[in-house]
Amino acid sequence: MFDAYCKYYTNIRPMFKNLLFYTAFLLTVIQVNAQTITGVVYDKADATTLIGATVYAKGTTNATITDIDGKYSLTLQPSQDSLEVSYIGYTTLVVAVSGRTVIDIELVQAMELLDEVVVIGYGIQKKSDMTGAVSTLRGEDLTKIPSFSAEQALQGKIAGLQVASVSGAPGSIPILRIRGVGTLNNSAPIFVVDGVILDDISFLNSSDIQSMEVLKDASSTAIYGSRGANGVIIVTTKNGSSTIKYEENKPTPAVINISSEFSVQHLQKKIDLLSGPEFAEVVNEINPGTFNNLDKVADTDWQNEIFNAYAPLQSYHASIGGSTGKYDYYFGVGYFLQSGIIDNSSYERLTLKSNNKYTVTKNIKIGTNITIAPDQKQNEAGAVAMAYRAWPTSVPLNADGSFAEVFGAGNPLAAIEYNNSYTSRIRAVGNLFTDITLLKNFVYRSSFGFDGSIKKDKSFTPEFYISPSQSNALNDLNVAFEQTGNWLWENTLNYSKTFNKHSFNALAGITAQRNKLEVLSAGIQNLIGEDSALWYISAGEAEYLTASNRGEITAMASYLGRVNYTYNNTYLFTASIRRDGSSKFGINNRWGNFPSFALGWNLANEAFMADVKKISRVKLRASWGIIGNEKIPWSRQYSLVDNNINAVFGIGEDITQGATYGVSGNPDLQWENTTQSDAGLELGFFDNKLTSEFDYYRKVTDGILVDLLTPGHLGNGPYTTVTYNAAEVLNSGFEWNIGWNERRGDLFYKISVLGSTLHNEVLSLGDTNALGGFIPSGALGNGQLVTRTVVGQPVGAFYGYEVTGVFQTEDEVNSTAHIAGQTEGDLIFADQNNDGIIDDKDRVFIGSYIPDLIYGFSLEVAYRAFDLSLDFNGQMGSEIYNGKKAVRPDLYNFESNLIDRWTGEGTSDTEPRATAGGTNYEASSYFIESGDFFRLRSATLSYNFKQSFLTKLHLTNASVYLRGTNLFTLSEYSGYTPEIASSNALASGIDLGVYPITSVYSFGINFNF
Amino acid sequence: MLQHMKIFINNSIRKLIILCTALGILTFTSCGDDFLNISPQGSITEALFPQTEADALLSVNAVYGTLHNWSYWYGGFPITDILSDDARKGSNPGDAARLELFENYTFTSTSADIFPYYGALYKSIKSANVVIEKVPPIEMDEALKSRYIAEAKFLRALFYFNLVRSFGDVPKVVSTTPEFSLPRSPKIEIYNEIIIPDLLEAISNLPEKTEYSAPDLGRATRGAAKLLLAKVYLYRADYANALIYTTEIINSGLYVLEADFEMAFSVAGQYGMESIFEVGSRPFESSELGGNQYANTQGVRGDPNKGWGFNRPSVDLINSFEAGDERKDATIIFLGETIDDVFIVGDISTNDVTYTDDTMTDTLEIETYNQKIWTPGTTTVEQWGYNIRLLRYAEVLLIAAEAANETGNTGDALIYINLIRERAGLLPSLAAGQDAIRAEIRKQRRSEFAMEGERFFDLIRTGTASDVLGPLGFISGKHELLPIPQSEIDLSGGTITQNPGW
Repeated sequence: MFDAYCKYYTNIRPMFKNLLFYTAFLLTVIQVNAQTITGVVYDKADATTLIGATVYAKGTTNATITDIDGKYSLTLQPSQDSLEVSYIGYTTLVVAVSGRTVIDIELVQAMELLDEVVVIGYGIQKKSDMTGAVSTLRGEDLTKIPSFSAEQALQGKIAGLQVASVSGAPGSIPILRIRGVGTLNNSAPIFVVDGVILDDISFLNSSDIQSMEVLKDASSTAIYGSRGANGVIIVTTKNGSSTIKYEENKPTPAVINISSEFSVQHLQKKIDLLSGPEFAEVVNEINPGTFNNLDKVADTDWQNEIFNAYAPLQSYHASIGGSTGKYDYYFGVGYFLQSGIIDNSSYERLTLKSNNKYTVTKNIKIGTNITIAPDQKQNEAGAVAMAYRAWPTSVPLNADGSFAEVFGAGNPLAAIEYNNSYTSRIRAVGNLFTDITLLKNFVYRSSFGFDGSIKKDKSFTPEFYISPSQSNALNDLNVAFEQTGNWLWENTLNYSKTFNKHSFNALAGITAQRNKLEVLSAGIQNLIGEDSALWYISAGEAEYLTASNRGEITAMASYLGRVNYTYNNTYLFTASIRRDGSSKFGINNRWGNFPSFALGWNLANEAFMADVKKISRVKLRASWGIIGNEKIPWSRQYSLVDNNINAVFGIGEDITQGATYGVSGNPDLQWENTTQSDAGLELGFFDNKLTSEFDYYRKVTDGILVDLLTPGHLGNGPYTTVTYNAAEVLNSGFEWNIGWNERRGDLFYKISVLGSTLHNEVLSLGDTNALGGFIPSGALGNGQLVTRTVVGQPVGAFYGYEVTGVFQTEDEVNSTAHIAGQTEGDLIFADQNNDGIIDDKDRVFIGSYIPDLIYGFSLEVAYRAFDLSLDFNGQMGSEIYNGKKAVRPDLYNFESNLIDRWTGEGTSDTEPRATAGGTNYEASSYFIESGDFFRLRSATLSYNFKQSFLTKLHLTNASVYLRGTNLFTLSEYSGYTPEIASSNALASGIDLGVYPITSVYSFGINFNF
Repeated sequence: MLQHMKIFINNSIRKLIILCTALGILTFTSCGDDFLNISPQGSITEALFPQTEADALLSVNAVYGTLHNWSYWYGGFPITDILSDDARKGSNPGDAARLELFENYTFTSTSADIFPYYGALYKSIKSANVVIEKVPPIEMDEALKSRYIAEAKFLRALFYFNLVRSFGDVPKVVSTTPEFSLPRSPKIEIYNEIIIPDLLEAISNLPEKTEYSAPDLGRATRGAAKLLLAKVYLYRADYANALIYTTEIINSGLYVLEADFEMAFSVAGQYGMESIFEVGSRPFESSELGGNQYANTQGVRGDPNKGWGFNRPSVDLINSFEAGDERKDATIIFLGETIDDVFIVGDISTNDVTYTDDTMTDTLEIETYNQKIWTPGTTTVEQWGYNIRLLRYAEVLLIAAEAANETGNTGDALIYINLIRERAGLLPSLAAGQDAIRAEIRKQRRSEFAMEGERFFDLIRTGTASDVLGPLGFISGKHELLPIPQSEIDLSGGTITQNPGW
């Protein structure tokens, strides 16, 4: 893994020598006393000033950073006789002082700016040497979204990556999909944080992150074997010298950074629902006589009742980082607090970060990367769906101020008021590592990673009575403690050698991982009092005590290897293999092999391209590999015994223990295999002012693990599922990322356009004749299943009747194929098979939540002290099933489209008559809406303070900014947001009433000293 | 170039191999399958259960335990009563309005209340099959073993009886590992190969009520098996056999009618002399702790009772009782009553009287509640402790009466009917002749078993459903059976077929 670093320096060193030579030649060395040197740092090519370049006295930590005008000022001690100036993307320059007090410095762009070093699995690599498809996000882009979740920053910034929020509730983690939905199971990528493999990164503060690399193709992910199929996101946290982790420590002055941001969240859009009088009129049409006096019905807007107009969000972060050359350190502390737009929902998190690396001897380094993050979430009460359903004719409060009974779904305000549900957690993640250079060209690394957490869930419901269906006879308390302790020990050996034009690198490793989880939960009722000081199990009545305790242990053992070979920086070859064994699978299917191969060709390095000046980079690459997905619960292979199916016997009614078979397991389970091919083209023009990257990928996943409802006669009970290796799915598409950046005097601007197309198709459902050739899912909760996964269609496609209009007259009903009982005013369903009968056989595919196109567009403009950046993103070709509207016939409030309902011949062709049940609520295209959207994801205007002002305050850098997030969303969807995601790939895109995503307006300040 | 390469690769690979090997040996000698063999934590697998006498007992208890599953009871809401002319949906207009589909026969095969009922019955069947399949090989007290198996067979027969009378032909599952794809077996096959043999074995091997020790009160008895078998024969129109088994119970002298009709249902009368099989429950809002939500679902709605109030006695039921029938007041709670010192206020959001239209002349429903599941007190917790009386002596008498009448013994029939009438505070029946007595039996069955989930099945069984329920929307040739849940048909890919008319 150190090869890349070595090569990096090998390339630069000759230039470096030349510069030293020139400076020494041109200048005479004069010894001086302590003095202050000032000057400006320029880009040699176009003479623009460089902001934030580091200027230090060579070989010391005495340093400063250039200001907004590129100016610096540094006081040198007598022993300090030369300056070293560095800037990302430029070649570091050493300048002898030679008695001068004003030294302007011109930096030269590094030979290959695009030769940024990219973090890959178990190593780093020059971008130009890469054969895989990897996208990177770093710098300010990481902290643009005011969220606790670092993943949110990736939305619209990485071609081929979809980031979708499941809920706007504070503390909700978004769903990530790399290159489509590759499985029906868990399609989430894995995260590798400083080498530790994890399922989520909610413990990380984005301000502590140096870079996030998204590995997409098999060449880059196969080294993660059975966990790589859904893509890998490598997160590298900051270190003292702000360089890639694997590089040498460089003496760097301590930089203190403090940032704070204050935001307000605002709900921009409400769902258009019927008012009280409108609703009463409709109900009277359905159940005549329900409301006798339409003039006197109440009119409650439940959305106004539950949502606060504005809710605050705050974020603070402070860090110090630097390097003595031997000891590289970074400490960060962050605090995040978000109140929900619904009362009694909030999220709060503290993050403590410490990264250290110490050079023990020339050959041995040791270090740690540690994050400790306590957080607390007050869980939302589920009031959004209630407010949607609540009858607007009900009022929130009785005359005496108590909560009133609300028809439809219960009183949402009471649900909020009586909600005392908290989840608090402390999580510690990190690793200890040592790098030992052995012999010549060998580096051995041992890294012991850990991920431990203790989580507490506590919820208390007081005694209350509003209505029979919304009441709690005895107060109750539920407490759960969850402890996780995971460790991962990885030992790798890296060999690298460059001679003549050959560059060779090999990696071999052995890793072992063990994950342990234990949950202890208890519930009790009738606490001695309701004060929060009494929310402990022992304050309750022992007779009501219930307790459960469960655990799981899983383990994985792996062997891995990779070879990279490049010839003349032009011909690139990579091969990798990983062999994984996992305890989650049955003994016969315990081990799997995951190989990959890739080739690359840097055409621009060929002689015949030497004359083509305008083209600065051309690379072709192709890869193929097999990767796996093993994300299923450990227990699904087992048929376990259910304890506590208890009976009551005897005149004293004694509880008598019972036990029987629970849900059947599947002992034949094995992981899914994804075979992925990728072809890429990278281009750079005009000295890389214009860059572009194109990829075509094709991913076929077979043996997909899927939780299936089983036939009732298997006796698993209603609402339960069993896991099978059942399906094969194809994802293919194009990705592009095109950027233009240019500096013109004081103006710098950058435009980038990225996007990806997605074709998702189920190729096979395997030997599933027993399944009838399809997998029904998408339960609305009322027994209806609205999706079907079937060969030739996208995963979890919506399935139902196609609506062609509304019956206008009884004659029309009689002369058209219809379902018995349909009358004029009802929806007309297409008779697909023309048999004159509307039945199951007429149901068809009516949409898919999977978008055809995901895109992002961003613009950055910097002019003198001002920076403006705009990020847009969107998607096209996706549909939403408006499930909340379709769940009837319990009588809930209706969406306002019902105002235009059919009330007689010719009144409506699209909106049926008012009904609260029956055929109009069969799964049909009536409930399908477009999920397309275009959103201004983020807009930031920042101002960088002038150096003269900063100097007085002993600051090196300061800026303030205004930011808007989700400022506007163009969408036809009637719900709060067109982002309707679910972790269940078979049943995604169904809106059953989500906590809405808000617009956020922020003010922030950053300063360094 | 090639030569360089060769030397280079040879040297490199040699070094690499040596180092990797050393590394591997040093660090991971023990890695491999041992590291990956991990037992499930905190649970045992099916293969390890049941193995001992104690396990056998646990497995039998769990079969009874499944009767505490909310979905077991007709999917949760008492849809079979709502389908009949005895009851309406109940509760208030906003709560579970979908149940109105069962009032007016517009429900479909995707209705949310069908599949949980079907699934829960088979879940119970699986628990019975665990005992029937796995207990025989256990080395244990043979007498106890045969009793355990007989208990499970009694319960399995009960589950299958509910399946066939609700759904008709159903998949036949007699093992813990049934085929994934099973077609429906004819109803007659389920009766002849499962229900009847199971009950015959239960009759042979179960003790009588008096033979159980006190802590085992509530387990299946020979009497219960005989009554269920007689009921099965009644459904099969095998009156001779129905008469045999009911007569045996009558002659056993183990059961008599409660003097007071209310006692047959009240909490005070649990495990009383009329009770033949009931589901023991404890006042806890959790099935694990022995609670059963059945009575809470139907309990008086509103303050102070806090029940859900589903399954409202219909006006038709109220009017169906003969004048002076004490069962009317014992079956129906009217607003303003005081029961066990609790004054019944009812639900403020439910109309005391609902009319069919604005003229307020034709009464659609009156706010009333099911008194049979009444529990004293004003919290929901007490309601969870209600013991459902699944089989009682009154049914023995009425089955005997019907069987006798249908086999021409009208004299005996009248004797049995009059026992029932007398207990209800009515004079002996004046009915004469088989037809009149048949009508009287049907009337008595309605009055006796109102709100107990039997009426709908009785109407179907006696072929009178279309006359009685037609006005509610019942369609002959369709509604005799509930639809097979659409999800079952979807999952089976058509191997499982739908009932006629659906």
